[in-house]
Amino acid sequence: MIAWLALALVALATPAHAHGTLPGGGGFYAGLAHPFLAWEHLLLLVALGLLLGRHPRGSARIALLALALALAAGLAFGTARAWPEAAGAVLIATLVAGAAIATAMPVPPLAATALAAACGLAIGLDTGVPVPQGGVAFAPYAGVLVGVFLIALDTMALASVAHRPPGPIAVRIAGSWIVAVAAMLLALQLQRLGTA
Amino acid sequence: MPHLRSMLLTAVLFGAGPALGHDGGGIGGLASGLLHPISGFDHVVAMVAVGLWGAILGGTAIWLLPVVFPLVMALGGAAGVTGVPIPGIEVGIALSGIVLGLMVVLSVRPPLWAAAAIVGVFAVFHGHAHGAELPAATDPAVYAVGFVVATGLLHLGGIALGLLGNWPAGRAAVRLMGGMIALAGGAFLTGMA
Repeated sequence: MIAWLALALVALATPAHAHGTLPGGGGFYAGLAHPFLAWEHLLLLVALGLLLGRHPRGSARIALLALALALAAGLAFGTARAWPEAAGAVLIATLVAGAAIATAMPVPPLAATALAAACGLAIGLDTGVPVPQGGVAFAPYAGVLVGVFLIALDTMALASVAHRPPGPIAVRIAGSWIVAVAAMLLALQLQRLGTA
Repeated sequence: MPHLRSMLLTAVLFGAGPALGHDGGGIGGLASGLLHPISGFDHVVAMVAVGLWGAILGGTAIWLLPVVFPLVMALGGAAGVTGVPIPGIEVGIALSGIVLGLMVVLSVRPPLWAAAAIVGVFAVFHGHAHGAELPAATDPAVYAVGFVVATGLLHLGGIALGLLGNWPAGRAAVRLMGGMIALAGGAFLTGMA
């Protein structure tokens, strides 16, 4: 029951809505807050966590390592220039992960690792954390990394304990909700791209 | 029962006050998204009917229908977002109330695929109606999360009501609710409501 309560709280993530943008920007805490503030990123990380939560620890660890490395690469490249394509990639990855959850499709460890890497890269490129002037250069990146792993690991933990009914069913329903949101946002992005 | 309590509590938490409280009353945020399916009675009765019917069918259907609905709703939503016209949206929504209400009142038990197909067809109309408003939202992502979660919660509410069918008196109450939903759908179709 605690797991369900926590899942509900993670899904709502009130601080993201309450604060909008952090005053001052930059720094570790701005980076930490970013995955919680960007709902598309939050949705993707929840989907990835639900997906990896049903994997054995060994393969989940490898996928998490891929997530971390790809995220670091994405953040590094994302600072160099803007990547408008990354927003679409975030939604496509969300759609894929959500569909796998909703249909309870078995995802081989290699595919899960590839998906985790794609998620990390897309989130990193789409984040574009500003480096604070006079601050520690890597602080916001470290914040994003911690924020991403907070969401992913918490959701993974919830999914991993949801073995008995109605746990697996609730996870599948959550997956269908994630697919619905991602599909509509992707359509909106394509529509805006077409009219631009 | 503990599982049911957990699910209901989760359902309540998903609609928690703080998220609404911080929305600032603006149009197109989480509050607007949550309220969109709830403020339209034609949406509400159809969503509740999906849950009621799933509970009547039992077994896999109790969760399959609430999974199928959002998946197919996304297609209608995408059409609505991109401006692809689907004729008779309002008629389709009203018909969903009539048909799904009749399924409940008559306790129709088709094969699972057929039940999923019926629910899926109507999901397209509901999705289109929601999706058409998405481009105007101030925060489309939050708005979409709001109305998808609200839709899902209405399904869960229907399932919870449908579980009354485990008792003889409850079965009659569930069928009565189905009848009222069908009548409401008829009222929407004829313009009486």
